[in-house]
Amino acid sequence: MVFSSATFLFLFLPVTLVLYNFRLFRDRDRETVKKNIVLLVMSLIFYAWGEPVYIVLMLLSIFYNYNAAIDIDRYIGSPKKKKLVFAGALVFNIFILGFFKYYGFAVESINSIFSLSLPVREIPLPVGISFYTFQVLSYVIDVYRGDVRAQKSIIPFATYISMFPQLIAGPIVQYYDVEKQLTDREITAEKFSAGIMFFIKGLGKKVIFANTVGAVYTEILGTDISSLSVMTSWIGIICYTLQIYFDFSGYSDMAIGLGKMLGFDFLQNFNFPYKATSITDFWRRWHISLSSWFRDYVYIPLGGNRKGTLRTVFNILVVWSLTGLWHGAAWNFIAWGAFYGVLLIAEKYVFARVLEKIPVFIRYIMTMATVMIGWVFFSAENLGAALTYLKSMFGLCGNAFTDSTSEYLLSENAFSLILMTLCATGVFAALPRIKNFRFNIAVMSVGYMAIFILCIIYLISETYNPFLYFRF
Amino acid sequence: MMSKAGLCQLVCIILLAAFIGFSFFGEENTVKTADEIAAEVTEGMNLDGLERFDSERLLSQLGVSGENFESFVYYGSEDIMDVREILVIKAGEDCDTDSVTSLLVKKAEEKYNTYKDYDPVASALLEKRVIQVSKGAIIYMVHDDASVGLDAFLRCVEE
Repeated sequence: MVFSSATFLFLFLPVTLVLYNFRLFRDRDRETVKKNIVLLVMSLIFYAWGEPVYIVLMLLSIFYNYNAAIDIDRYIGSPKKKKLVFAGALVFNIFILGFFKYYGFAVESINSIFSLSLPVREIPLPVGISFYTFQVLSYVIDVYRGDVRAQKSIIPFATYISMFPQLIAGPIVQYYDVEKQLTDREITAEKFSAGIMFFIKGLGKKVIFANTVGAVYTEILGTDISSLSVMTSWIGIICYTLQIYFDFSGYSDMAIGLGKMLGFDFLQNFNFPYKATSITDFWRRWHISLSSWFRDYVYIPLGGNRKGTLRTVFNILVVWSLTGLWHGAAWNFIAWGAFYGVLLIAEKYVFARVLEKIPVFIRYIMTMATVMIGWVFFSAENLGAALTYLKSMFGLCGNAFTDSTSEYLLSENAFSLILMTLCATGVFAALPRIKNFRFNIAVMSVGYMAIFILCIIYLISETYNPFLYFRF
Repeated sequence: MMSKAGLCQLVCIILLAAFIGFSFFGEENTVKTADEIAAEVTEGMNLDGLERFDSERLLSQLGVSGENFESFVYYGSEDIMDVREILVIKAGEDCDTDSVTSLLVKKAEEKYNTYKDYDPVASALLEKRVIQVSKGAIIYMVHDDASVGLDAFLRCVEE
């Protein structure tokens, strides 16, 4: 089930909110337990809607890690036993992710490298496995480090892992951020209405913006990539650049909004990444929860930047190759991750001083062009297709700079592309606000209602409604 | 002696092994390509007036994105009054076949609503549409010979 579907909007969400907010107990603690049970059951239904088989895998992960964390906590005075249970939990979680996500890729790579023909059994990717495995790993690591205590009750723990707002496409919520909220949270009218606004904003980003430009990019990809004119290929990648931002940040906004409606505060996952003026800046603004996860659980434990330049370079390359691999089991994702690793190293050690002297606008253009080149690797079916697309973008396929297709696409989409670019770069958000509370409330209410109605119209009339980050 | 939590972890590991075994030895996708399946499906069907199209753009016009498909074959007519069509999709590893079939059903229903008031033959054909998923392959047919095609499809993917 996706958030931008009629089933979710008009059936699942209203039923969940009614059951969740129906006050059964006067006692606050008992009421929170009831809320957790409702949320857990509804989250399992949400997951099972599209993944009736793989719910077993998620439940196994929940039960295993719940018990492992209790053991780690118990063996606090016995470091060897504690380490053994922790190592077991790491192996268990990494094995689940590795097997279900990378098995096919690993066998195919071995076959092509060593010219073998080992049989490849296709295993469908369980939805959200990368997200919930990272959440569960962060929990177990935090318990091992002593940063948090193991959760003694399975209901809040299972609720944390399976919570439907962020279950299948993030943001990756770290346990210590919601530990207290799992057993004590409050839903106020302000929080609930803020949640509705976040949700509608995300829905609008997804349905009105991402789907519109996504359809253009799909159309361009439907033709022979090597015959694209330079302009068409740039229009295509600009569309994808906007699509992936509005798709993923829209989903994150919806997740944050749903969280607020349920009394949770999830951290921000995007902070206008397309107004970044360097690659380092971009990654401080894009998919913040993933970058934070890799920083806290891979980069810093590897030594971060404390062990000399060579080791820092190595650590950055490891983190970024893993970031690429996390996004998908294919060489183009690894290339995409390594591309950013190399760029970040170059920015840190080679171009830091040069960049400071370049005017901000030029830096911005350079950053965006680099990010778009990165998205070519990200969106391509394989490494070969990415390289062909890049050749088209730089006129290396021998095609014309512009053609009738690019002229048609520009005339049809110029307005929406400009509008979306302004939204993505935070121009509208930076406009001064009228300091009249009542006026603001009235305008916002009408505005959000209009966006919601527009989304419904789009959802009824459009059939193109994929979610890009479901693949991960 | 193993703790209760340790025992639970052990049980989870055993269940995981069983689950992986089930995933590994469960129903396997057909090794045939969409081309091979379509060739067998259309063998006993009347294709007069139908043309074969292979642009991915067509798939998005049909309402399904092509990114997670291994291959597909589409037969349709350029005559707007001819509603017959045959679509064979070999789904990829990450393809959510349920969402593809529901999109196809939605598309067919939209088309049925368009034709129902002025073309009873076309709307009857659309009403009898066939959508079937088997062994990682999807077939969608609006055709007089759909039942023949369906038998051939099921036979083909089972082989």
